[in-house]
Amino acid sequence: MALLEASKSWQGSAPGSVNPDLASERQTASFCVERLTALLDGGAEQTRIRRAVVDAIESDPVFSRENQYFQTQNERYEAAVRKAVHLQKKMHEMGWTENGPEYKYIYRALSGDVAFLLHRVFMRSISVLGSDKQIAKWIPLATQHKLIGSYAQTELGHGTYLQGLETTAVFDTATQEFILNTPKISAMKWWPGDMGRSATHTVVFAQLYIHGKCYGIHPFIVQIRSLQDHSLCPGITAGDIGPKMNFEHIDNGYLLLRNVRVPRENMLSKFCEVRPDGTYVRQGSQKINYFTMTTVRISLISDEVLTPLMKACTIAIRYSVVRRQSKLKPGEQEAKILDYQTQQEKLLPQLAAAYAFYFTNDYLQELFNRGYREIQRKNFDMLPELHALSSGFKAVITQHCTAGVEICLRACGGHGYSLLSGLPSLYTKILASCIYEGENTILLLQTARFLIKCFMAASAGQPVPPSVTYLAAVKHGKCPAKNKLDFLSPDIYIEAYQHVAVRLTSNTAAKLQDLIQSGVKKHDAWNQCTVQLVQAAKAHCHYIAVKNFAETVEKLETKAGIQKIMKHLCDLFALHGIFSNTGAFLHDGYTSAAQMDMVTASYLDLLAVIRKDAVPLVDAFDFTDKSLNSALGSYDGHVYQRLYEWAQRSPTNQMSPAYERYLKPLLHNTLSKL
Amino acid sequence: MFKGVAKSSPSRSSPSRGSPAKPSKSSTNELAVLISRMQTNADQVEKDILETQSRLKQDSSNHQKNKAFEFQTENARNLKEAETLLKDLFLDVDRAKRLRHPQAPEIEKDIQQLHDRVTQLCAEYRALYEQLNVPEVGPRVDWARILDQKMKQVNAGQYGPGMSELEKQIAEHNILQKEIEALVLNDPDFQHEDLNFLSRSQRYEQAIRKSSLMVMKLREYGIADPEEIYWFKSFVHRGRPEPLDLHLGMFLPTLLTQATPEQQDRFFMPAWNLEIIGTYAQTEMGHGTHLRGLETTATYDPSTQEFILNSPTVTSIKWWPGGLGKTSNHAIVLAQLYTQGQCKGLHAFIVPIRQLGTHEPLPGITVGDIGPKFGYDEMDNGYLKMDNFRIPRENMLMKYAQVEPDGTYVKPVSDKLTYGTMVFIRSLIVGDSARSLSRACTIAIRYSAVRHQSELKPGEPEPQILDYQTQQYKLFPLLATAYAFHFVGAYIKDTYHRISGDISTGDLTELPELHALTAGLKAFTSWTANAGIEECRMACGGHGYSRCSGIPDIYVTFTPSCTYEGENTVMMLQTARFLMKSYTQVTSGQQVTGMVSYLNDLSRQRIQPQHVAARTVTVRINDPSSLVEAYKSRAARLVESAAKNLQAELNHRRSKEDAWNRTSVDLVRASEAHCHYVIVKLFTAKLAEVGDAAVRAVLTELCLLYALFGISRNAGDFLQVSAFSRSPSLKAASLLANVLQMPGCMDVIPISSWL
Repeated sequence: MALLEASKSWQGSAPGSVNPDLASERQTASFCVERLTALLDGGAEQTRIRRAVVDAIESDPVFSRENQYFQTQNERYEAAVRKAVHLQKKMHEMGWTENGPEYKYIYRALSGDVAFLLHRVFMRSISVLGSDKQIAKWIPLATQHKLIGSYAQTELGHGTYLQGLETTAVFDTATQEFILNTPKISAMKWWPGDMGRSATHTVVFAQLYIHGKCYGIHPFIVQIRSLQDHSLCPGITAGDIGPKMNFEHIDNGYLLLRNVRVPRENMLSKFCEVRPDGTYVRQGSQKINYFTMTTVRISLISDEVLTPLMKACTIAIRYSVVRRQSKLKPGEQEAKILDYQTQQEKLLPQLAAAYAFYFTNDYLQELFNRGYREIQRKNFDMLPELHALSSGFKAVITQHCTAGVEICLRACGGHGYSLLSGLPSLYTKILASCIYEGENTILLLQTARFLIKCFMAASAGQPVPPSVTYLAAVKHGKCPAKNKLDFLSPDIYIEAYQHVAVRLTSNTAAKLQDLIQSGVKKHDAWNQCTVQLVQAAKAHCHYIAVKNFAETVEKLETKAGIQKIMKHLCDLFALHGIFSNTGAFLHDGYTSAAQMDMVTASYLDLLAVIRKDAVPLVDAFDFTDKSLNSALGSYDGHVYQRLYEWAQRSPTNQMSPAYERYLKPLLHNTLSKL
Repeated sequence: MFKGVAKSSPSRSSPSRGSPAKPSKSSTNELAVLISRMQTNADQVEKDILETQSRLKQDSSNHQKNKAFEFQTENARNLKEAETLLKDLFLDVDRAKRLRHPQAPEIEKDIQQLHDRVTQLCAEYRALYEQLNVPEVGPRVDWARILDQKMKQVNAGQYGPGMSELEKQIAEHNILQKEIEALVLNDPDFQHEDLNFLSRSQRYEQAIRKSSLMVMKLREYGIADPEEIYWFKSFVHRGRPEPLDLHLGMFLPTLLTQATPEQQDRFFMPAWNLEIIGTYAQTEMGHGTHLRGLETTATYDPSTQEFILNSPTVTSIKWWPGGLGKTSNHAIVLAQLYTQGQCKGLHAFIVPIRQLGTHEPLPGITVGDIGPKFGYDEMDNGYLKMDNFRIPRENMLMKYAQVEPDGTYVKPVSDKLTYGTMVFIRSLIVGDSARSLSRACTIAIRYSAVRHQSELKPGEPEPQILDYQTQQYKLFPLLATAYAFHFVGAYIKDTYHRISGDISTGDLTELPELHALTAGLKAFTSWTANAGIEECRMACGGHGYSRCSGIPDIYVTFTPSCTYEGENTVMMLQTARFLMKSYTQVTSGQQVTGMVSYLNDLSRQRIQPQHVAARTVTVRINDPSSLVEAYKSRAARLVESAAKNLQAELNHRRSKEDAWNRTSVDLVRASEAHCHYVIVKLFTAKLAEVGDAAVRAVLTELCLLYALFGISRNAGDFLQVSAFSRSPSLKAASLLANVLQMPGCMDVIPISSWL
C-alpha cells in the first residue's frame, strides 16, 4: 500500500508535467508574461536573440554546469579554462562577434562560469591607456590569444587607495628599461584574476621613479610566464591565493617582482611618456580615462548584481508555492508558505527591488550613453555627476541586492542551505560585488562629497547638475497624505523621499560647517560626519531610484496589464523603503506617527495584491532551468524529486574510506572491551 | 655479558677465597648450572636489547620520513622475550642468593640494569608504535588538585589587578577550560590542519578521525562531566560541527529521557560505548517546522508484535539529520504511529539502519548523504527512506506513551515535557550567537587596527582603518551586541537550570513564559549575529572574502541556526502568541508577571484614559536604566498596536487564523521589540553586578552603545512612541558619535579570552 503510494508520487516527476501547485499560480496572471519579458529585454527581437544564444550555449555539453556543486577548486578552474577556450571556437562557429547583438548575452548564458575575464580587462586597459603603437602591437596578440593577460592593481596591503600602492618601477636610462620591484610583503600584488595560474602577461600598476623622483602610479606591461613552457619568468614569483567564498573557477593570484626589467616601450603611454633621456611628458586629457573607469561600475550592475537577485527571487518564489507548511485554517491542507504574510514580506520587496533597479540600470545606461557622446565632443561637464551616480548606485544596488539574495536564501529554510538550491553560490558570488570596483562605503562617501558640494553651490544660487537640482528647492511642508490610499500616489511618496534626502544632506552640511567654524580641521570634521554622509548618499540614490521607477511606469504601455502590475511593484518598492526606514521619515515631523501607520497598512495590503502575480513576475525574468541550476527553482516545480536525485549523484555517496579507517576501529575497539 | 660478573665470572674463578660460608658440593653444581643459565639468558637479553635499540632507531627515522614501520613485530617479539628472560633471571638470582653465591648482589645489580634498559626500550616502543592505543590507566589530569590550586590563586588575587571581575563572569568555566585547552592543544593527534584546503570528503574524514580519537581520549583522561566533555569537544573540533554531534547531543539524551529502564539497558550502554552510533531523524524533505505534518508512518502489527516503518512519499524521506549520511548505524525516527487502525500522532522509534560489522544499509533501508551544502562540510547530513522495515515493539521509546502487545495505545501523562529540551537547545543557540559574533568581531577589529588605508590628513601616513568613523560605526555596535548576547545567553541558561529543577518536581508554571521568551530570543540573536558576522566580513574588505580570513567559515557554520531548531519567523510568532495572550489577560483585568509585566501599565492607563503612545517619558540618553524605559515603551506600543490590528481584522469577521496571518508582520515586530527590550534590560541589570570599577565603566559604555544603536536603527519606532521628542533624538545621534570615539575601548576589553 505504502509502496504503491510512493510509486504514484514518483510518476509526478515525469518530464513535461508541472507540479500542480506551481501550474495553478500561472493561470491567474494579471498580465502577459511574454510581453513583460520583451519589455525587460528591450523588445521582442532582443528576446529572440537572447534565447538563441542561451539555447546554443546550453545545448553544448562543454558548457554544462551540471556537476558544478560537486567540483573541487581545481576541477572548477579546469572547467572554466576549457569553457573559455571552447567559447572562442563556438563564437566562430555561430558567427558571433564582439560587436554583434549576441555578445552581451553570452556571459549571462554561461552564468559567468568561464576563465580569462581579466584578459578582456587587460585588452581594455591597453586600448584606453596605450599609445597607438602599443595598441597595434599588443591588441592583435591578445585577440588571437597568443598571450593571456591579467590586470595587477590591488596589493596585499592596498586596495581602494591607489596612491598608497607600493610597487615601484625605476627608470634606468642606461639600458632604457624600467626595473620593477615589490619591495615589501604588503606591496605584493594580490587578488588579480587569471593571474594565479593562467596569465602570461599582466598590466602592473607601480609608482614610477625617474632619477630618484616619484611621478605616481603608472601602468606597465609585464610578462610573467614563459610563452614556451608557461614557467615563471626570472624575478617573478606568482601563484594562486587559495580558497575563497566563491569564484573557485578563477585563479586569483599573487605576484612578487624582484628586479624585473621591462623595456621603456612597455609603459602604457597614451597620457604620459618617459623619453629616452628620462624626461617625463604628460599628454592629452586623462578625463576620458576617468570616464572609462566609471563606466565599469555601471557595466557590472546588470550581469553581476541584478541577475543573481533575479535568479534568487525566481528560486525562492517558485519554491515558496511548492513548499507547504503548517495550516492556515484547521482542517485544510497545509498552506503554501508564500501565503504567509511574513513570507511575502521577505520575498516580495526583493522582487520589487529587482524590477526597480532593473529600471535604474536602464536610466544609468542611458545617462552614460549621453555622457559618452558629450565627452566625444570634448565636453566634460557631465563627468562629476556621472561619477557621483555611478559610485552611489554601485554601492546602493550591490548592497541592496546582496542583502536581497541572502533574504531569499534564508526564506527557503533548510533546503536553501543546500548548495543544490543554487542560492548559496549566488550569494557568495554577489557579495564580492560589494567590495570589488570600489568598496561601498568609500564610494558612498564620494557621492556624498558631490552632494555637499552641489548643496553649497545650490544654496549660493549657482547652477547644479540635473540630478541634484532638488537640493535647491528646500521646502518645509508636511506630508499631505490623509489616508492610506494617498500613499499609493507617487507624488506623495516621491516628495517624502526627496524631503528626507534634502534633510540629510543639508543637516550634514550644516554640521560640517559648524565643526569647521568651531576650529576643527577640515579632514577631521569630514571624518566626524561620515556616518551621516553615508546616510545622505543612500537617501539620494534611493530617492532617484523611486522617482525613476515611477516615471518609467508612467511611460509604459497600458495594455496587457503591464503598467498596472508595475505600478504595484513601484508602490511596494517605495513603501517598503519607508516602512524599513521609518525613523528617517518621522525625524523632523514631515511624516506623522499616524501617517506612518497608514504607510504600514498600505504596504501590507500591497503584499497580498502582488502575491497573486508573484510567480508570473519571476517567470518573466525568463531564466532557463540550466541557468538557474537549482533543485528548488525549476520551472516544473518538482522540487523534492530533483533534490533527491541530485543528492544521490553526490560524490560523498561513494563508499568513503573513513569507515574502514576510523569508524571500524572505533566500533571494534569498544566491541572487544565489552 | 654481566659487567660485574664478566670480570670474575663464577664459572671461571674458583670459589671465593675467604668466603665465610663455603657452599657444599651439590650446591656448587647447582650453582654452576644456575650461573651458566643466567649467563646464557643475560647474553640473550643483551642481544635483544642491542638489536631492538638499533631497530627502534631505524623505525623512528622511518616515522620521521613518513615511511612505514619495518620492525614493529620483531621488536615486540624481542622485548617480550627479554621480559620473559628477565623474569627467569630474577628468579635465578634469588636462587643464587639463597645458595650464597658471593657475587650474587653484583649479579643482581647487573640484572636490575638490564631490566631498566628493557623497561626503557618498552617505553620507547610504546612511544613509537602505540601512540594511540596504549591508554594509561586512570585520569591524567588531577582535577581536584588543579581546581583547588586555581581557586586559591583566584581568591588570593594572584592574577594581579588585570584579573577582572568581568573575565571571571565571562569565563565561568575558564579554569577547566584552560586545562582542557592545554591538553588538546598539546596533543599532536589533534593538530589543526588547514581546513580551508580540504575537500568536503576530506573534511568529513578529518572530523570523524578526530571524533574517534576524542572518544578514546575522553576515556583515557577520565573526562565524564558534560561540561568538561563540552569544552573538550569544542577544542578538538574548534567549534565546528562533527559527525557525532547528534549521537552525543540528541541520541543519547533522548534515550535518557524517553526510554524505559529496559530500553536503557538494551541501548544506552552500547550507545555510550559507541557500539551503537545513533542520530535523530525528525525533519523530512517536505516538512520541517510543522511537526504534525510529518508523513513517515509506523504501523503496529500485533501478529508479529512489530512496527512496520514506511516513507510513503518523496516528501516523507527523512532529510538533513546529521551523522545519518555515513556515520550512524541507528536512528531515532519520528513517525506517525498507527495502531488498531487509528493514528496516534508522532512517536519516536529506535531503528537500526546499518549492519553492525559491515556498515551496509539493512534491507528495506535506503540511506545516504544529501550532498554539498553552504557549510557544515564535516557533517554527513543524510537522507533515510524506509520500505516496510520492521522493528520489534520494544523499539518504540515508551517511557511516556506505550503500545501494548495487543496494540492497545496508552496515552502519555503530560506532553509539555518536550518543551524542556527545546528551551535548552535554543538557549545554546543564544550562547552560540554571542560566541560566533565575538569571533567575527575579534578578527575584524584586530585586522582594522593593522590595515592602513587612504589618508585622513593630507601628507600623513595612511591611518589604521579603525580610525575611520564609518568603520567604527560598523564594528563597535556589533562588539556591544556580542557582549549583550553573552549576558542574555547566561541568563537563559541560569533560568533554565532553575526552572528545570521545577520540571522534574512537576511545577511547570514558569515554563510557558520561558519557552515563549527563548523562542523569540533565539530568533532575535541569531538574526542579528548572522547579519553582524557578515558586516564584520565586509568591514575586512577584499581579504574578508578569502576563506583564510576565517570569517566565511564562521558565517556558513552559523547561518543555519536561523533555520534549525525552529525557523526564526515561526519562533517570533510563538513569542507573539504569548504576548497577545498576556495582553488579553491584562485587558481583561488580570495582572501578568515576569518580563511582560510592563503590559500591566497599559491597563492602568486605561483607567485614566490616555493612549499609551501619548505618554511623555523623559529619557536620559546617558543613563542605561532610562533607556530601558524607552525600550519598554516601544515594546508596549508595538504589542498594543499588533493586538489592536489583530482585533480589527477579527472585527472584519475574518477567521482567527486569517486574522493572525494578516497581522503577522506586525506581530513579528512586536516580538522583536519585546526581545530587544529584554536584552537591554538584562545588559543594564548586569552592570550593577560588576564589582571592578574600570570594567563596570567600559561595560556601561558598551551597554549605552548597544541601546543607542538600537534606537538609531529603529528611530521610527521610538519617534512614534514619543518616548523621544525629536530634538533629544538628534542628541542621541550625536551622543552615539561620541560613544563611538571612546578612547581605547578596545584595549580594556579582553576579547582574546573568547577566541
